[in-house]
Amino acid sequence: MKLKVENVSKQFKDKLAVSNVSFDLTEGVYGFLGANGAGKTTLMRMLVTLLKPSSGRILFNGKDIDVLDEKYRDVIGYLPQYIGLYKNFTAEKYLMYIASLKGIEKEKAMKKVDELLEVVNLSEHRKRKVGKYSGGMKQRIGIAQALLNDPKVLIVDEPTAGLDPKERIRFRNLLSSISKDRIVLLSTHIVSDIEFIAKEIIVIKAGQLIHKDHPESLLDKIKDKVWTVTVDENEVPKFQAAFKVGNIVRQNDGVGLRIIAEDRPDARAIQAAPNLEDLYLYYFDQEEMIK
Amino acid sequence: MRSLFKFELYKIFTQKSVWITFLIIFIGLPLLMMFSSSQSIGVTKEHTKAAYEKLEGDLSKERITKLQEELNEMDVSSSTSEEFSYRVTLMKIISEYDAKERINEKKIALEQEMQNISNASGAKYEQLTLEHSMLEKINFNETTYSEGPLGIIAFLGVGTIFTGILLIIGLSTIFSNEATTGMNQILLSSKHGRKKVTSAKLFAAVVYVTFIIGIQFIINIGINTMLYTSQGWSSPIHKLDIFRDSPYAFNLLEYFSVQMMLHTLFALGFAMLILLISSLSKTSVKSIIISSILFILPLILSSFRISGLEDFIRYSYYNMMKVDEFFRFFEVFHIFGTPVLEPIAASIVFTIISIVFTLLLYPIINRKQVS
Repeated sequence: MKLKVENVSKQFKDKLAVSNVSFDLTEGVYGFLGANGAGKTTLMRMLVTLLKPSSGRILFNGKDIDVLDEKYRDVIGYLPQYIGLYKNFTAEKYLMYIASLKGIEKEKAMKKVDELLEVVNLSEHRKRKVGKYSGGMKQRIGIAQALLNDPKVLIVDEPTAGLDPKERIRFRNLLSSISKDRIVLLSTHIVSDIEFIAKEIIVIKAGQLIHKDHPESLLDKIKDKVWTVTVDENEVPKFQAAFKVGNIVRQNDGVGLRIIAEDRPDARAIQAAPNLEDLYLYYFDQEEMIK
Repeated sequence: MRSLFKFELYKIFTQKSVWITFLIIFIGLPLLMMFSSSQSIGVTKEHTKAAYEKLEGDLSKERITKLQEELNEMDVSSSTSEEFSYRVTLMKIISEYDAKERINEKKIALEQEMQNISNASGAKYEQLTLEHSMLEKINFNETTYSEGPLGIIAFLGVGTIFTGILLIIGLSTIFSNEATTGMNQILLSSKHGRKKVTSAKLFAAVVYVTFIIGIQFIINIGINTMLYTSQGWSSPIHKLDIFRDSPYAFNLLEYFSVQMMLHTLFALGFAMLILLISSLSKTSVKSIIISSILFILPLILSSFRISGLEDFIRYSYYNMMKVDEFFRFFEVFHIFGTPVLEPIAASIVFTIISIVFTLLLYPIINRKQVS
């Protein structure tokens, strides 16, 4: 199974949101990293047929998804960044409606709805109107709808936003377990969501593909650029102004800073092993990052 | 498809705004009808019925002359409700006779005009022949009590406004709400979220239109029959003031059947236009505003009598759904040299337009992008 993005660009009036991006996806989880406005959502929308590329094409198993039309939409599951809901529908009715949209027969749909409500821990609230759900519950019902048709291609945009840590771990494990025989593309700001489950990470900046590689290989690219240093509290602003500063930890002997810099930022600094947060910081602005 | 249709129907019928409007209209409407029936100045329905029982019969010249004399001799200064109702009924019957006479005069005028035309196979001649043959079929030789059917037919004047409001409220959001709620992202990326869901929405809209008209039909018939009885369906439509010059030889029952058919047809056409606007609108508010303007604007403009806008008003959805304008006078369109009666031509043209609107929905939804 292969999803191929071939020289895809998307132009919105005077803004080039995605510029000549190409990559291939096969079975496994792919993490999609990029700052706000980098073009992640636009690219994902093109992958789920919500947007048509201005140029280039997307192929599923060698066939243009535009030509495949319904046949392609039959194999995809999509969780948008902001999940749409009908406030007066109960969770059960909502999922049954989505099942109809996905062409799932009633009997099969009922079983699948039961199963997924269990998976997303909403069985107890199945008869409650989704308009009365909390943000996290809405996100979980969104995850359930995306999985209803056992999609071969699952595309999820910021799926863990609004979930508590326990639910985040639960969802991460779920994705990891189902990714064996399907393509999962996961966009997030929360780098820990993809740190351990992503087969590859796709880094996109200003609409362009910067990297697509295994996490280890990407981390290897910044292995000499991560530093830790313990400084006096009044020195912190000076470091923040001069470098990309990640973690700031108050310690007994001062303040511990994690700095991303090409060269040693201070004589006291020592090199540290990079992680995905460092990678994110290296490519994107500090304020975009959420731990 | 069936389950999608049920869900679409559920979405329409669970809109609070629809039920609030339903309640206002369908509880307020019977009350209004009953209140207005008891408020006609001086004329009561009981006395009118009693007057007709005395006066109904043939509309011959001799009889009308007697009735005219009776009217002239009546004392207009002292007038009880019974006398007033009797006098009004007398005047109505005399004016019915005038209408009958006007039809006869029109027939004679047409015959003269036909004789003056040298080309007996031309379009104009065909038009005159058609009108003459229609007038020939009118049977307006007697009068009878028909207040119930007359009330039922007249109801569509206000009923059309109710239909329009309910269509706009119920259907304007059918596509635009998907964008407003963000559901379009899920819909448009799902297997049946473009074609089949469009068909399901269309069928649900048709059921909704039928439901609205059906409910109005029941209330209209029920209340008017209760107030005035169901007598008089066989009277000609010329009993109604607005149809005094009509060339159509319908009795009240025939006209009511045609009226309901055309009302439903044009209401369905308006529903398709609303759906089209909804599919093109990014917000529900925009969709509601545009649909409302298209429905209400001709209604407002018609009261200003602005020249040059007559056709715009005549062929507006409000006017067409009201139906009666098509049957007041003899109007034809010449299609390939053949005169075609306006209601037939308008029905065909607007059916085609509605089909085009319906078919346009598919490519619009199919090409829809979410940005």
